[in-house]
Amino acid sequence: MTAQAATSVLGFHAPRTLSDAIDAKVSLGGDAAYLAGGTDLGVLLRRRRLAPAHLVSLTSVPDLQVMERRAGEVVVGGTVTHRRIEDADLPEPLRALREACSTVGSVQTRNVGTIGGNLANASPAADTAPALVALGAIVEVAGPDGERSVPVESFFTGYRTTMLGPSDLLVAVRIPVPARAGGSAFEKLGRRKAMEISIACVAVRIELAPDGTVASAGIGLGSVAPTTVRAVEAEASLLGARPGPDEARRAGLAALEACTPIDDVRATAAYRRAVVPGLVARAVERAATSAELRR
Amino acid sequence: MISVELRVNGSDYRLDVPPGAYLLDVLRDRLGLLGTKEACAEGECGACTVLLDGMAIDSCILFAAQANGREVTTVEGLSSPQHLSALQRAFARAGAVQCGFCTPGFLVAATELLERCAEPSEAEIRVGLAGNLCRCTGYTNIVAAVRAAAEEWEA
Amino acid sequence: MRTAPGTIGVSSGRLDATAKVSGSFVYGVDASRPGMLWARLRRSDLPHAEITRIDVTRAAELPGVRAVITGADTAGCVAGRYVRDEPILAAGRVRYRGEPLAAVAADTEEIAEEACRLIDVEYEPLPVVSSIAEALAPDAPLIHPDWESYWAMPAIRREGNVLSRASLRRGDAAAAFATADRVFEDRYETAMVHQVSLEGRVAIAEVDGEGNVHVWSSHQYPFGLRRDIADILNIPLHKVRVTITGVGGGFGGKLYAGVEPYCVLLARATGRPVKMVHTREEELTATSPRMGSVVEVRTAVSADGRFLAREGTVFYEAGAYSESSPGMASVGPMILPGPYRWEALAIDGVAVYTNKANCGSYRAPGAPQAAFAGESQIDRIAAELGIDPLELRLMNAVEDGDLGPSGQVLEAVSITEALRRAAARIGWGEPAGPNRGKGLACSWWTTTGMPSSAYVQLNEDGTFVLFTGATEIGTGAVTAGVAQMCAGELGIDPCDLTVVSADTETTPYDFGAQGSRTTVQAGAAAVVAAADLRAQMLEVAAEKLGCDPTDLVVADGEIRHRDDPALALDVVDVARLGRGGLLGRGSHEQPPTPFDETTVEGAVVGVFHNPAFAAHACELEVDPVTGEVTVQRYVIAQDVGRVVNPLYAEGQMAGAVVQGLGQALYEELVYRDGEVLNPNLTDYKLPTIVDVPEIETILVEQPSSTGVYGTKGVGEQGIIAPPACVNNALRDAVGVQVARLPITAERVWREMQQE
Repeated sequence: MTAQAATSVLGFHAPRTLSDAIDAKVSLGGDAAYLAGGTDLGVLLRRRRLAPAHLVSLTSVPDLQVMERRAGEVVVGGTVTHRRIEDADLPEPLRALREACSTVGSVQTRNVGTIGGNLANASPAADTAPALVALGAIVEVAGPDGERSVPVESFFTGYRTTMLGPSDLLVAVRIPVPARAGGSAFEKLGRRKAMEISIACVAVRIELAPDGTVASAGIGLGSVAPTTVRAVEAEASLLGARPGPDEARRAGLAALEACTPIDDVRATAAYRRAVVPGLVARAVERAATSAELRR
Repeated sequence: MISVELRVNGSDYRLDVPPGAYLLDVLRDRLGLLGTKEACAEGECGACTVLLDGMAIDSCILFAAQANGREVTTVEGLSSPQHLSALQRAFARAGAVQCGFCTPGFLVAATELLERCAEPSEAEIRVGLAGNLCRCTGYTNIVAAVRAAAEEWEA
Repeated sequence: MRTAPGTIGVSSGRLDATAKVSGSFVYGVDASRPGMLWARLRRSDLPHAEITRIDVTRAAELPGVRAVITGADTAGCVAGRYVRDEPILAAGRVRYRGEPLAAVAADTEEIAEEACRLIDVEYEPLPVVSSIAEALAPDAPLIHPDWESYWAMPAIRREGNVLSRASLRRGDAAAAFATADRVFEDRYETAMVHQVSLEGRVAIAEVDGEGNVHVWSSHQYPFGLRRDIADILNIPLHKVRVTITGVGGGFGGKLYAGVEPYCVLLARATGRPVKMVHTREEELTATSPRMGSVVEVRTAVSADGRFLAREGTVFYEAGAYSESSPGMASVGPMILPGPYRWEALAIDGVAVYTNKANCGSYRAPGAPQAAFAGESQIDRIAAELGIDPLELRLMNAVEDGDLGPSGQVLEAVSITEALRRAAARIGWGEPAGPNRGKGLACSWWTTTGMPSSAYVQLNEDGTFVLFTGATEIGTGAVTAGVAQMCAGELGIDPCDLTVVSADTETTPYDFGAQGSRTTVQAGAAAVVAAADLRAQMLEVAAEKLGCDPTDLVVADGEIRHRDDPALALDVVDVARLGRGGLLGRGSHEQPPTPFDETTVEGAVVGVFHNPAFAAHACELEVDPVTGEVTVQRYVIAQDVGRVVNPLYAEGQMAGAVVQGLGQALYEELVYRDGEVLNPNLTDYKLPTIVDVPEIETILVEQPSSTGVYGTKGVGEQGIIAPPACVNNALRDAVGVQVARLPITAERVWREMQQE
């Protein structure tokens, strides 16, 4: 086996503050990589797809570890692990995030893999991204040029690319907790039932007005485009109506507007198009049922 | 070289290692703890599972530097030489060990599982061990072993 | 039949369990020798090409590199037990992407790997043959232009890209087809899949000043490996010693020489021990996968469901070199008929060269491919005739006295019992629910014979040591089964027996852990050896006690007169009287099973010896949106003849089933233009613990007259039926089957769309 060190690495740095981390990355330049949990980076270095000379570890920065409920939102720091999110008592309307986190890899992956790392890696199949898109999450970014926030669907700019500059890092994700009756759900399809990179994954958030019609909806799709995408047409199709099976089906079909899938070693584009409507409809129904409980 | 401090199976070590050294290789090649195995080198099979501050992780993709100042438990640390743990005895008795190459990883992952949840259902056992591949047993006796150990477990 | 002692049929613990659970068991990857160097292989970048230039200068100059060898250094080092077609380092032509071209020994693995990258190779590409169809096309490029000049086992019929054609003809198939009420014709395909032993191939070699070679290897067949090393490297057999380390899985993939010859050559070149370990990528791209297949099957039946005739061809894709494929091609004609009565059969098994890694043996080699086709078609027949699949099988199942495909007379036939018990357990006949279905599939398999020998020694302290050439590869066959059999014959508890195994210098010959043979054959040899030692002990005691050996019994560490307990000797005293030299010897070779040799041509496997039978039943659910299949229940009822260790026999059954489910639903080596696209465990999908249900095992016992105590081989058979069993349950659930493995959700979805 390749029982060797990642031989390119000459330095390992463990800054303790956010500004130290950014300063370290800036001064080390393009030959350095931020390291969160390492479940993606560790593999890339093993396979020699990346060969950074320096690793700047982010897991010693306390600011990145926060997980707390603030007014109307849950804030999750960039190096919070999937396991911590899974175990946290998140409000039920944020269920899609918990479900998504619980499907990332295995227990071993989730114990060290981080939400920031998952997003920054920007795989179009990232499990947490559709959930965060559906939940209307905001990503907080910090770097040498200061801080800014973007909606999570704008975080991804292309295949495996994000709006992060070379020394930017993801500080936190802020997820609104619905004021209205809200529910969410996540569905993932893979060849097997664990440790999977998805063939397709979807997340849906539904918020109901007092009269039971949909006041707000969020739908995120993964593995069906170069980036995680928001199914805007599908969301619009749900507004103003009670979310029954027909509406769910219609939303599922409308979600195809946002899909530009490809053929790859896991599945064909045609198959992805075929399953997305059903998976979306299923998630809509589950989210709506959950929201109904809080109306 | 960088200096890394580890507490492994209760013993403290300070080691000079290459900055890119993975924890698995440090455990095997530097500390002679050969019980933890490499089978895929990419965090997909769990044969390299160790506990890091009590959490099951794949040591083949964790840099030793990430474990600096932390506690590591390997299969060798699950018991004393005279006295196997409940899980180890259960695995041996229940036919959960065939070639045994996956066994250390399973034992460590199952240890975390039972520490978190003393009476797991079959579904919880399977989800908790989904990161560990076995090619020999078909998993049935592994689940039975964890069940049997759970009955004896002192959290 | 020999009476089985009290240790038989007991789930005793295995002798290696404590070491394995404590992490102290030493596998090949854990072993080392002082002063050891590390070796790596430089492998071909192209699937089919002539090497026009190979330059190792930069590699040899890298600090820390101690030796570099290429094909120029290994001319004449050619492997192949059936067809001698595989140079261990390519010299002129490369025939698969990943074929070894050079080997490097260096101070560290990193340096060896870096050196391999510095070996410059230039190629003249040749057209790539990527499939069976391409290999058999009239104008197909010849992968082995010099095939005629190769030594081959006389039985093998080969020509051009056809590596081996085995034929089975019995009865008048043409007449049966002409007069049959119904004829069914189908085509099936299976993918190449890999054993994926968690420990890959690994070996250390050391050569001393006298040219004596010592190899430590994670391997299944030390005597075969020794023979390979001696033949390939032209070293006298007696100067090669093979010691098997702990083995982290084999499943047939560690039966032939793999990394060992390179280690030996580099050890010779450097004067230091040399270790080579495969990476997972090397395992998945270049190490003996199961042959892919195309199966064409035509079956004639009567309107009331009687099987009349089956004809067809099992085409196997063998890859670039022969390894075990020529022999395994003859498995197809034995398996395609299944455990059923036929009036006529006309089946060929054809192994074909292509530009992919050479295939090898993987648990029941050649069988799942044919069984997928044969058993899936049976359910299609059942559906078309309106007959219940269980009833159709029962109607046609073989019984004692019926003939097998090649005319052997079947005895201890248990397929009906297995079918009934499996069907009862799965609740056959009770509806499964919406989108759910139940399926059945049957199999039969051989117990490979070939010789085993053993010695049993009496220690000074009255304990015993078994020396067996058999290899423990994880099944428990040696550390439980054979140990139990030997201990039982000695009248001791198995945990009081020391077992020394699998070393060509210290243990006698054994044909290896293959073909489900170890418990039956090595066990029989150990029983004979134990009996021989007992006889010697009784002789010695009788002489001392002044009585007849037949008056004595062995019990509780004593040898005593059956009528006068005071007339006794402690076993320790017997050991001393024997001057420490009492040694029992035993040899065993399963008697060959007679069959009609006129029915087979070009076949290495023309009969199934001491055969066993199995029936599988499963229940699954299909997701109507995605086509995803979830197996909810799986039952395997397998005839083991006479069970030696129930826990580990069931362990073999469950383990084989899950590998079979892997082949059924998840696993395939994806090739494009001769390149494996998924050479890692992220993309080559093994079943995880959440992908499979509890495997419910039913032990059927129909003792054979050939196996000692009535035993039959156990380890392989469970892998044969699962793909068809799943396919048949799929048909019950949603009315469609998939003609190609693996049965992915996408393929199910596509079939459902067409309905």
